[in-house]
Amino acid sequence: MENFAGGQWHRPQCVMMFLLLIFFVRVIHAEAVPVSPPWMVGFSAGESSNAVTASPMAQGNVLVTILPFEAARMEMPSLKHGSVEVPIEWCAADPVSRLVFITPGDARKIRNTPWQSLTKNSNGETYLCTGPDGVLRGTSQGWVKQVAGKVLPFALLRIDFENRVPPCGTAVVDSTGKVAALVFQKEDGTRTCYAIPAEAVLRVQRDMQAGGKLVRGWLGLTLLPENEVPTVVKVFTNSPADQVGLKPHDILQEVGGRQVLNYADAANAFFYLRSGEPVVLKFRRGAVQWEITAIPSVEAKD
Amino acid sequence: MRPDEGYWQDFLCEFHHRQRQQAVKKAGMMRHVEAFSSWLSDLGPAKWAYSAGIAYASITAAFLLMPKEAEKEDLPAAPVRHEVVPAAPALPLEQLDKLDLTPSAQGSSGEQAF
Repeated sequence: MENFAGGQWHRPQCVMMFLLLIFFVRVIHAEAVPVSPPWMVGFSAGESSNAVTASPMAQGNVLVTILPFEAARMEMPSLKHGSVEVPIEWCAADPVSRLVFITPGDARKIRNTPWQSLTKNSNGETYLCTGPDGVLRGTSQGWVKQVAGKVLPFALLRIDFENRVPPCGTAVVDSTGKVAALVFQKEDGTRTCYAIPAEAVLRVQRDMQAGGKLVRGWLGLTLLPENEVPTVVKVFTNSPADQVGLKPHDILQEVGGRQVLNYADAANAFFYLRSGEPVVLKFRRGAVQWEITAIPSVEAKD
Repeated sequence: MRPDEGYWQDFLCEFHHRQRQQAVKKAGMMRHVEAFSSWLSDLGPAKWAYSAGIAYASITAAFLLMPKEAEKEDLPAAPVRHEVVPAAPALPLEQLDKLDLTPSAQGSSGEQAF
């Protein structure tokens, strides 16, 4: 038997050709493997039903999705894996972030996805969303902390997509293959969406799984949104802020490692406080810079 | 009374010496003028064409490089404004308690407790 060059086939050449054949067969097979069917959650909105995508969390048999605005109030949703109806074992919704966490009830194993613990603050970061219609590519446009003169409870990511915006609840994956955000809402008439950063989803999930509701860490100070710099207006007596010596007119500079330049920055940083978890506060009093560690307590609003 | 015998000899030497000095002094500036004059005379009738060309080029260059007088436009007379306009007041910011991006979303204003 002759090879392409007209010479005789030797054993090493045969082995190499066989290995190459196996490699190509594997590649073709991998392309043909079907993707895992999507998780869909249906919410009742009046007489109609509104279905959104659900994404697996990093740990536990938990899915996360967004409660659509059309669904006026949270009722027990319906869950589908592909076309298969799946019972729900546990479900909890947070009214602040509109995040809904669901555990399927038939011991169906969710394929967990790694999540970023801290979303990178980089403009121009490229993201991918995988859905039933294929892969959608998007580019980060940075953080959004206020919309039309209203400061958000926490900052959202603004992402421009090339073709179209993926459905609500779709996981946005960064270049490291980890989930960086969850699609929250599409901007009308554009290919842009607002996405909840992964760290906010994880922050809410911890409280929801622990006690069924979001519990904000409370320091006991007030800020005025109109102030150009985040200046402490009032400190409540015997509050955590009072106990560590924070005073009115102190200017906050950093809360829990997050730089604070204005009121919206401060509101975003305070969202991540948890009661009982120490937080480092950096602030300026006159010309002197201070750094203290405070332990937030349970939010006083409750 | 006749001068001494060497007097005329000395006079002649000094005369020639001064004549040479004057010639050297004149040479610095006049040499160029004389060289230019001789070059011009050597040109013959073409010198008139050269002169006319140089003159035309000079006039054209002067015309083009001459700065134009800025066009003046009479501004309408207006009274000088003396009063200080106060800065626009900062727009009130609201704090949203819930994540709601709809325009009708209601937030709370004033001091916010954290």
